[in-house]
Amino acid sequence: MEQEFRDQSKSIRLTPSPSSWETIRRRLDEKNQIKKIKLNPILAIAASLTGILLLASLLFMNNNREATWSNTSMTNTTEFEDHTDHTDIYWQISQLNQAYTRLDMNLPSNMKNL
Amino acid sequence: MHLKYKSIIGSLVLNTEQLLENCLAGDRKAQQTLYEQYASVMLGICRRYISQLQDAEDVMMEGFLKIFLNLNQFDHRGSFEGWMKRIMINEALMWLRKRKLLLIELDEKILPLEETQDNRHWELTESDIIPILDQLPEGYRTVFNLYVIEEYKHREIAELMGISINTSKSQLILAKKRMKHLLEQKKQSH
Repeated sequence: MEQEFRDQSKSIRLTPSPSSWETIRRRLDEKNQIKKIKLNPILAIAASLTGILLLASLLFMNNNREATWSNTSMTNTTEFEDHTDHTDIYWQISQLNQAYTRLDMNLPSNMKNL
Repeated sequence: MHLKYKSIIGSLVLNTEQLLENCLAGDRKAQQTLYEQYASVMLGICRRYISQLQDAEDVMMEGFLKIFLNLNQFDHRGSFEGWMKRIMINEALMWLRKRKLLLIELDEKILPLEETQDNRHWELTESDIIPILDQLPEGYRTVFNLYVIEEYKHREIAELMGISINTSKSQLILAKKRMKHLLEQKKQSH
């Protein structure tokens, strides 16, 4: 019985409906379109990642520049503060004063007020 | 004569290879040729597993879609027709599983212990096969198809259907028993 079934089953042929190939073809076309659409989001994700990286690097560079500027201005401020340290000026004035005294000269009035 | 025969076979193999290459490249005409070449055989396979022709045709279409979309996975070692048949059988099993038609409930009491040998000749024709298979419950029918016609091993059937090897064996014995009964009825009616 088994052999008979096996032999006869091998020759079974059934004709599909005429529309079945069209259905397969349409579904293959749909799958192709989906593939294309699926490819676009990948490109979009890649582009946005590149954008994010670019933005992040720009921000990072900007921060670095600001930090350099603030360091420079702090140095400048320090230098300025050093200049405003009047001790040195007073010392120079007192030296001048002593020189004027030695030369029997009067210190200019505007310097006396300092 | 022998050489001529050999060259005809050679050109057929070459044609199939060329056809497959074109199908792989997405050539719709080549895909249609391949479909037209094998559709009737594949529908015959699906129909042996599924009792409604429309459902079997849906399964066959799904199978062809898988064949065209996964053609790059065919390794050219075995026969292409065999590869397509396996896809169709898997599709049919999936269809049956989705509809819970492969659920086999077994009563241990009715488990047959051994198969009786029967060497009768039933004089079956190809047109007898499907009407007889249609009268079997889905579980019996599937195991019978896989074991007798596709020549799968019980271990493979158990894996494919998610059942034990013993269940596969007992389903086959029960299927054969039912089948013989149906064949006897058919013989008597003639």
